[in-house]
Amino acid sequence: MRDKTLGYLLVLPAVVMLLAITLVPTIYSYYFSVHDVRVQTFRNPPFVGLENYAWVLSNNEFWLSLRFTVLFTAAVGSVELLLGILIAVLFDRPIRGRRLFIAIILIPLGIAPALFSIMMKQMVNEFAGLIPYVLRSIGIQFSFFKDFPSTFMTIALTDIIEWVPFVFIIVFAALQALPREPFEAAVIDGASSWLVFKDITIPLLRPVLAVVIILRFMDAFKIFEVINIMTRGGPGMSTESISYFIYQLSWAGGYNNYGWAAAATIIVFYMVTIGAGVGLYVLRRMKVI
Amino acid sequence: MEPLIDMKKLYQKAQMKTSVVAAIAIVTLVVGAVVGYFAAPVKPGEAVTVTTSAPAATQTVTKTVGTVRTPVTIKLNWWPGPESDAIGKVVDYWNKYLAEETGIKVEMVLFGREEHPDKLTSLLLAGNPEPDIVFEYYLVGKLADYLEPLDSYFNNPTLYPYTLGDFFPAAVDAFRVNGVLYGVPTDVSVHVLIYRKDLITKPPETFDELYTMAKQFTKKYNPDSPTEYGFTVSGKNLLYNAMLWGGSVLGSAGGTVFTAGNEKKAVEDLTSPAAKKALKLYVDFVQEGISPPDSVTYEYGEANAAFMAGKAAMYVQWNAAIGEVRDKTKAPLVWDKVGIAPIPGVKQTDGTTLHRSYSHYLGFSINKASTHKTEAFRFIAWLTTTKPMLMYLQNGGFPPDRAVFANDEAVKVRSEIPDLVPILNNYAFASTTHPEVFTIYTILAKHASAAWTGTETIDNALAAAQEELRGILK
Amino acid sequence: MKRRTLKNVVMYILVLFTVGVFLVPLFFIVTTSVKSYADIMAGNPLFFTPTPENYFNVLFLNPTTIGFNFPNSLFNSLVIALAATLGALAIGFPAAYATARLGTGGGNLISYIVSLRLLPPIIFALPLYLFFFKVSPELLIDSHAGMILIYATFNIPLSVLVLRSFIVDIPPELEESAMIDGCSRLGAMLRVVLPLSAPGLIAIAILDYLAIWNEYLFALIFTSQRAVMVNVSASLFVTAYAIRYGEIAATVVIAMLPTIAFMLLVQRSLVKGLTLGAVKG
Repeated sequence: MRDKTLGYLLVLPAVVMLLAITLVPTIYSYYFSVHDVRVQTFRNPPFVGLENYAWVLSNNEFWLSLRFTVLFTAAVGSVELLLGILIAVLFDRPIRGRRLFIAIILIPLGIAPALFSIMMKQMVNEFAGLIPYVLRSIGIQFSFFKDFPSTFMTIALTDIIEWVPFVFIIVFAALQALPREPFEAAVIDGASSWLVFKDITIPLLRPVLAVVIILRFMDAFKIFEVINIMTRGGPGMSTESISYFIYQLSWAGGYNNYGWAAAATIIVFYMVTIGAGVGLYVLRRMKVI
Repeated sequence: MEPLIDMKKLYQKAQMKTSVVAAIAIVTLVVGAVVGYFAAPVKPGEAVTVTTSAPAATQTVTKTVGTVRTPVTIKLNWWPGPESDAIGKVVDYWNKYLAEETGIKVEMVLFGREEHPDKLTSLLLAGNPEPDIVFEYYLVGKLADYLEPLDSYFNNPTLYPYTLGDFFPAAVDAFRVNGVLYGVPTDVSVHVLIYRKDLITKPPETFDELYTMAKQFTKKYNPDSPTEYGFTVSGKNLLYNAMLWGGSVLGSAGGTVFTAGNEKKAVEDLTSPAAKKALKLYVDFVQEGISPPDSVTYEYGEANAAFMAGKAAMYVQWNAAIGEVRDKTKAPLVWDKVGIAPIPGVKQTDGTTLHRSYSHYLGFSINKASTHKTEAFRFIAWLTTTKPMLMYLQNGGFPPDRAVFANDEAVKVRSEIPDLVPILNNYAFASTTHPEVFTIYTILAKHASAAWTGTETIDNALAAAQEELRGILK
Repeated sequence: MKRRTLKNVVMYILVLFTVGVFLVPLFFIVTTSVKSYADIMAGNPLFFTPTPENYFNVLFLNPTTIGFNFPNSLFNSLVIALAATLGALAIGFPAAYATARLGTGGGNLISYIVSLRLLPPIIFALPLYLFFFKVSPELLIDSHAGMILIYATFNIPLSVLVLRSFIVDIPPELEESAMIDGCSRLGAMLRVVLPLSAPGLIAIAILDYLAIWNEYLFALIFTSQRAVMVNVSASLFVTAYAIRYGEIAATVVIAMLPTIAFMLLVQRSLVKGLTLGAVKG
């Protein structure tokens, strides 16, 4: 059989499955976005053209949540990246009990984000939580949800504890596979640890880091569970992520307007795709990737 | 870099250990999974509607209401909580004693609290015939098209040979959409003021009294105060908290509340002095430290926790909390110190104080797409009679049934009934059944919580809420 | 020598500190799982009387009346996660091979596949429910088959993306020599590339499995009785009026066990697998 035909056959199952599962919902979404689709109008939704899109684009909350999401993704993504790399480098040495330590660090990855958020919220609860209790016994009175800065810190912390292990394990694995020669040569030449890190480790890790950055930033952008459980977008609307906003639009206990939700999702999708495309182009031009 | 210890030996030892641990974990899991498989109520892949095999006893069935002959299983939907535990006992009773005679078996299907509205909406929109009986909560107005109208069933003496129990009229009204009855109430939830009766001999009647008393019980202003905070605001940006504030507090301040047919007027009234006064009360409580600083993220559970831990002296809460805070094992610090009072309000021109308590109802409706509507109604009808409702109450539910309340057995179980009856009779009002009810309270929650967290001024918050609601209710 | 030892000690302290930070939530969850409700609500998290009642409630509550059935949901999650992972790999591997070696689809196919990961899954929930319901409610709604279909598909992009970079790393000469020896292209894929990608496959299997095990939204909407999964079952402890932290903590601990078992078993392969593709890719 010719290679070309074989190729098509091999990708066929994947393409079929993806299309089957995503095509129909995607078509529905485009359809919903140009009709007034609510429970009352569900049987025969009226066509409204671009009204839904206009509503979303002129909605203050939409832009606020977008801004928050970008801020959150950038902040949390960078911290997780940094910490993950640092911890991986830290663990890249012979340590007693390293296997066990790694297993402990990986545990938050195995807990569903929703359940983890419930537990974390209780852990910082003013009355019954472990952390405030410990803080109080050393004299610090700190409220985790008092205002925007403290709330932001708390939800960021939850996400960080959950996902640093993800960055860690990938970078750690990569470190393990790096060839020893450049490092040994650097030690012989008397280079400091920092120089070794900067000029050898990081460049060698670049491909891995690229993958990790892409994966983590894409997922952080869709942050939902932590917000839904810990703050519901509060105080006020200041911690609403774009996923949370869209959820509020479509949820039966919220606006429950499927047309608006669909329009918002499509707008966000194109914004992100174009943004990512532009970003990649710029990075390539600057020879960073 | 010299290793600290001989890694090879340790590695070998560790390897063995981890393999053993992993093996044990896997074995436990497989055993557990096998046990779980056989514990499954319905085996995967099996047909969903399981017809119970007809025992010989059905031969002796004499009177069966309705035209059912073949044994049938109907599915009853609810969400987890004290009510579902209670209804579970009633369902057990039915299955044990009445299932054979009627040929109807009832099975419970639980949807989690959070996703219940979404799941219910999805399955009704898709035309899923199951569950037959759906648990209703505020969605009657919106989902009416997908629910079975019940008037004809209740008016049919063959189907409904009983007399309807003495339900509070507001309770039944809560299930009427455009005059048509779509459901049956099973629980009432009403707002009350919960306070420490050991510390407060006479509960506050007016807003001013409430504010002064709350300040008195806040350590920040009164170092001798036995409690740290005077009043707990349920401040999370959550629509149920908006009901607490936007229903009872706003209503008692003289503001116009959202009741059926009254929605537009309520929206226009959101910038009235009464509304501002109501919002100012909560804003002051939070900003002045009379309510715990975390309270801006509190919902039902956390507000209870603050009271149960003895940290707060008063709060406005749903009556379901009474059972919890009066429970010796759950609230060892305060269980015998709980007082119930109407929501403090404003003094009116005739000298009386205005008290209003928001109330809403849980209940059942029948899925229009169900294939067992008659059987489902048969069960619901039985449920509305006094004996099952009393059983329901004794097990943790709270049916809006005056006949049940009058029963001594009921008061024995629910000591708060005497406290609640006057509130239900005099001050309670039923929420609107407008299809957008959730949206209304979501919007109110958003802006009100912005005000009491200080992100927005009171005037701006109310104006913004009004603007947004005008758009929704046009 | 002295400086080195000091540095080692400092590093070791940092290691312990890091592990300690991650231990805190774990400690909290485990202790919460053995506290009674009153103890959890009390203001003193460090002093309590341990009780097994949460585990008892989670594992043995009467399923028919109350509607929970946690052991059954464990079984469901396990079956669905394993099957969907296998499915994603079985479909993803050939596709990865085709795009890596045979140039199928050019760059566009890969871009399309990856872009699917950008969308918040919420938007798919209702339309997919309606679609599945129309096609076959028996087979697809609240069923193992339906969930496996959904999860396998959702994991195809990740699997294809990562497997592809592993395959690119394997020198093509190996397949070419196999084909010279009379092997077909397909045979070369199965007999040469597949075994060599084994560590990569295991690595992706773990990531896929974790993603499915932790998934929440679709399990919530689609399952109610027959194919209830662990997270949905655990969420039933967020009751109408109280969050039963003790029971939730117990479910988290129990649900952690399979994951830990997997991770312990394949830690070595994971390291090997991730590095093969990552560093050179």
